Amino acid sequence: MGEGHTLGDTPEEDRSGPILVAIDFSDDSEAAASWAVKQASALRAPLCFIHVVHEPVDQPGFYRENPSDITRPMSEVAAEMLNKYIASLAYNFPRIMALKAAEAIVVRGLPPTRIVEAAEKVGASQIVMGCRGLTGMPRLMVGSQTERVLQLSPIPVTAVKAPGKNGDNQDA
Amino acid sequence: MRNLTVSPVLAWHAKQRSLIGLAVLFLVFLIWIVTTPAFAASPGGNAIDWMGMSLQLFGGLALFLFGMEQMASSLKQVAGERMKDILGRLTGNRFVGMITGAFVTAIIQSSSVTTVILVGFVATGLMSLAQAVGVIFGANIGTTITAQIVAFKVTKFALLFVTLGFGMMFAAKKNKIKQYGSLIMGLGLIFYGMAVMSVGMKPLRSFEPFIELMGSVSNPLIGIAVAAAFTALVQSSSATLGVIIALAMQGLISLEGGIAMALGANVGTCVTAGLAAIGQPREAVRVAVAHVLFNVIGVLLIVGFIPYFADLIRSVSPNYGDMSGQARLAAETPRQIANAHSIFNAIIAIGFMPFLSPFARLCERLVPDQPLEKSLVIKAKYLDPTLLETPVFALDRARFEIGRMAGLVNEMLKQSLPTVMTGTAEELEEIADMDADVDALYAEIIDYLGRVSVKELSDSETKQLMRLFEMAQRIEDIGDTIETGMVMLGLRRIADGIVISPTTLEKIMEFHAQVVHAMELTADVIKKQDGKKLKQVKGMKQDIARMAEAAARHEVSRLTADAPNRVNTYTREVEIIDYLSRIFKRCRRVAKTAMASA
Repeated sequence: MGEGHTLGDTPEEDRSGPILVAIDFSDDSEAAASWAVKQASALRAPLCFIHVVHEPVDQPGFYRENPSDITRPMSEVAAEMLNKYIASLAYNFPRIMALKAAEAIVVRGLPPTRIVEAAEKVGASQIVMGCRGLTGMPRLMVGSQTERVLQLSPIPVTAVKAPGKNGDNQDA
Repeated sequence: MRNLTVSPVLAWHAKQRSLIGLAVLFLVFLIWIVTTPAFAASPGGNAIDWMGMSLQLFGGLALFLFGMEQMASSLKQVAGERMKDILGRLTGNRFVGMITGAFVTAIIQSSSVTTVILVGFVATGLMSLAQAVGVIFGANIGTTITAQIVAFKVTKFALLFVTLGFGMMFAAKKNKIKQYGSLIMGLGLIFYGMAVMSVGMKPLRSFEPFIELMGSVSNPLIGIAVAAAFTALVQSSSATLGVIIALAMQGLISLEGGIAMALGANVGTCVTAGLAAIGQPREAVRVAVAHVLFNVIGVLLIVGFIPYFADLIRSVSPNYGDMSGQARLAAETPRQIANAHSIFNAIIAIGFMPFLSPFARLCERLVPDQPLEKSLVIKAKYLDPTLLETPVFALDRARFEIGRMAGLVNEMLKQSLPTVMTGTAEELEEIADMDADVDALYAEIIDYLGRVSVKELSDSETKQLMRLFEMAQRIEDIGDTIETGMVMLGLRRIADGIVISPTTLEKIMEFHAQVVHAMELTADVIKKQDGKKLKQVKGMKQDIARMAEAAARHEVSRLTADAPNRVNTYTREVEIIDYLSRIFKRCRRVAKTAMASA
């Protein structure tokens, strides 16, 4: 793995920039990650994974599944979760080199703005993220993070839904 | 356990603010009375001893606050850590969070303290806004317990509590019993403060202008504003409730007026958490905003219905139908106000629960994130978990990461000296913050090496592993030396008002540039295992020693000069030279170790 870019770099007008994959550990983001890995392999593009530490309002304790994590900062737990996640992807796709050199970013904040900001920082060529397909009341209450990213992002955004899901999914 | 304590400085500031608030109130009250002609003499000709009354009122309030402080501090001693632990653990579910908030606040007797703890938890990333909001709702319920206790007419037992508590503190040998004694005495002082305030206000019962004034406080907006300002000044909603109930015990205030003032106390109490959130990360500011919004919205929802709410409270509170007039007010109103406070806070908290999600989102919208730079978490770049199975590669990756860590520390070192010599306190804090990244990387490296160590390793791999541990440790030490030692020197320079002379600045900067160069070379030695660069680092030993000596000689010559503050200046400058020399020594050791593993 080379030096790669660091987050402090000035954004470059670079079409071969990494594919930024937003991970929230849901089924949809898993589908998005698989899609992005294949895409990276086809385009020979580097991969960069981002997780925004932001506990869903309806799931307090999201980062606290393991009781021993309670006294650790959430970012620390999230970083571990993301590293394990990337390692398991690398295990599932052993021949994809981009995964071995993938960069992992963990930031605190509100997901949509953070994803777009990080994409700019790493000079990403596109953003890939899961799409939950909320409808009705949950959509009104929670809103769609993907939609917000689409509105804010100056680069292409690919939204991927987990297989077997349709628009009436009520999982918020 | 990390970051689970409320800063003593914060606690001291809160105490100081209460005292200043109390003093300001006392002065305003005196000036108001002296300059208001209506209070110069009562219409009936009964002169009121304003000075004596003011002393009783404010002396009573001081005793009340002192009692609360004593009780809270004993409770913290007896159960404080457990309370924080409970707060940290039991907030996985919003209802459990609310109940936890109510329970913890009832124990520590202050919603402000609960919210300040929450702000701290959220700022350090131990808790999320989603968890904190439920606890805030509960804290408002828990805080009403104080008003409930003081509304019981236990003032006649006040001195019994004081005596009993003092006896326990005096006679007990075990620290825990002493703390319980202090707690009981604190409770006694609260009751005694109430009694003093209540007796002090007795003459007002027949004083027309005051009765008219209290009539105007029945206008809810005035009542809310007065109580909010009072609470913000004394930084305690319980103290405000104490004064309201003391007024009620003399029959000086109606239930409607009391409810309005209790609502005002809810709003005023938000100031403390607001102050605690200043300068904190956005997540923590959102907690303070949630606290304010929740209380203000709650008050706005009920303010138009105070008379109906008062009727409801009268119907559920004890009733003294055999009495009439002020006597009946005095008998009924204290308990009614305490009940109104509890019921209102419980209804609002439970009523808000279904809207917790949109409420938290509203807070997030109101307080957007800071730009990304400030919230990046540094991550290991080379520590690939898939390589753990092949330790020889994994060790190599760890070495790269240690080289990267050395680069980070060097960046810190580069920026540190100019800031230590001439920078502001904020700039120094930024330098100290840079160490958090180094610490995070160090933790990841150690964790990774730990995982490598359980694999089957050859002798040479084991040796290399030990060297990598040592290198990471020494580089982390350098980071800590900058974070604590050098930054502290900078802070002391600011505190002592030391100005470094241009010639000294030049000499130390020259010395510093050499150490930075050595650190740069070391990072290269680690990453590239470059023998030539190690030679260069080793060769710098003589030069560095010479420069340190020259700088020290210059210092001694300046010591005899007639410069202001020269002893302090000398001490700081010599310490800087000493720190830089130590950093160079560690650097050299790291470079040597790095090459030994080549």
